[in-house]
Amino acid sequence: MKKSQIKLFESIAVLIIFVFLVAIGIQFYGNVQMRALNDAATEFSELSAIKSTLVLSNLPELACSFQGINDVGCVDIQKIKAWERLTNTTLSGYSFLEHYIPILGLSEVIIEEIYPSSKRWVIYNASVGNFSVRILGETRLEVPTVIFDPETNKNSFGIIRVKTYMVR
Amino acid sequence: MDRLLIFKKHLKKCLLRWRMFKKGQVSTQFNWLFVSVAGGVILLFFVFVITQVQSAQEAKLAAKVISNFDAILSGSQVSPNTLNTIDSSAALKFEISCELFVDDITSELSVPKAYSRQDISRKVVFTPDDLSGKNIFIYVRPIEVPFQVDNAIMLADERTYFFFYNSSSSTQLLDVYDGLPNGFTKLIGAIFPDDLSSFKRVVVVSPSAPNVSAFSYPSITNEKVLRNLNVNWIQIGTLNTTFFYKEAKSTQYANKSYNTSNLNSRLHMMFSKDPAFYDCNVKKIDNRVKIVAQIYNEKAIDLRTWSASQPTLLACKNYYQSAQAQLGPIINYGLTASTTIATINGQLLRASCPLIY
Repeated sequence: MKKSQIKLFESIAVLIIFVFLVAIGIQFYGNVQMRALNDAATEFSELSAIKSTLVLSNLPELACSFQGINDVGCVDIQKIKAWERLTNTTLSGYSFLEHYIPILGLSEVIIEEIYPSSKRWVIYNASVGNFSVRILGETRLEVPTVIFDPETNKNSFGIIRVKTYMVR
Repeated sequence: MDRLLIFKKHLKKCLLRWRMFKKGQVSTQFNWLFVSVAGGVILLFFVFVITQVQSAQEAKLAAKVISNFDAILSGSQVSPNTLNTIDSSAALKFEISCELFVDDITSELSVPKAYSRQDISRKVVFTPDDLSGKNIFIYVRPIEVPFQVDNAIMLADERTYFFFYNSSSSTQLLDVYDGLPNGFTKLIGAIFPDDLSSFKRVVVVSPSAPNVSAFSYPSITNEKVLRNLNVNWIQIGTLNTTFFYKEAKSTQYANKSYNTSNLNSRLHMMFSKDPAFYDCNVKKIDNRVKIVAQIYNEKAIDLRTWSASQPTLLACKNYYQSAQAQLGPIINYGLTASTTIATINGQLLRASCPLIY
């Protein structure tokens, strides 16, 4: 009787240790997967920032144009000013900025003239504070651009700064 | 007496042995039961973990594929008049939807049976069918009304066939044929190819309407090969275009007419699943037109104010005023507004005034 009891306890002990080892293994695997998922999320965020910057720098609403042909790598200062004025307007029931949320998401876009003068325009700012989200990180991209002034017919050098937030 | 005692002892021994034997049997059975239950539970646990991990990996892969494809579309979107091909070693499958509501448009890119979706409501994307296969074609053309408002992305897979039927006598049709790059499977002729079984959708462009009786009387016309296929039939008129469409195995065409002879519009119809999908994307273009027109209107206001202060450019002020008058209807009515803004822009160019666009 005692021998069989010992055997039974032995089996139960083996099972407990086995379950314990499996739990450690699963915990370790889970940590590895979480890290991989975080890396993937960072990668998605960076890709999203690149997409936004690419589309933004070629938007007809900002790009220089001559007789309907848009210039690459150039923004029109008149269009930037027009964009700033239209930011708080609505058309057909939705705001001007709402149109760009699917394109730019939770991000901030600043166009800055750095030569010969220094000017700054915040053309898009979907404020993170308006949403109940947790910021996990941010991605910053800067793209050089030419800023063309149709009034003076002169170009200046500028940068488009895009800051994209990674949120949960 | 002795014999009786011996017999009794023997009987006792047998009884004892029998009891011990039963106890052993129960103990063995209990062991087996214990092992089976515990083993089964452990096995089920591992099967559960594996299925969970598998579905998580599939969801992750679907999200990555959608994200990468959307990045390709974004890159293509900024390169008008280009044809790109995605060559993949594995067969890809995408679904693109576009639904028009009263106040809004919902348009999504997704992978079948996956939770991941990508919002493409600000991308103008025409596709004749759900995309599948190892080769996907991306054709991008600018949308100009007359100023550029966006680039239209037209997608097709390797199982889409473009047939220009009885088109050699029509210059408008030849324009459409030339407007479609050579990378697509396209043919111009008077007789349908006999074997279209390797294709899932045929896009027919023709000056005539489809012959429905071809499905009932196959000997009458060579269109019988279309009976079992998804078909878009674009009838090109002088001033209008009619979009016929039918699903595979169906013998009836539904249709919708449009008062347009614009080459881009016809190409967009060729790359649309049905008129509802085409109308949804046209609404996206309409929204873009209104937004861009607002920008140009504000620019015209600024340039008018500025030119009024420039003694040598006072003549420009009237042009900017006319431009504002033309842009107003575009802001309100979008694509349906008729406008002479192109003429005004030409006048600004000749007068050496800064252009509107």
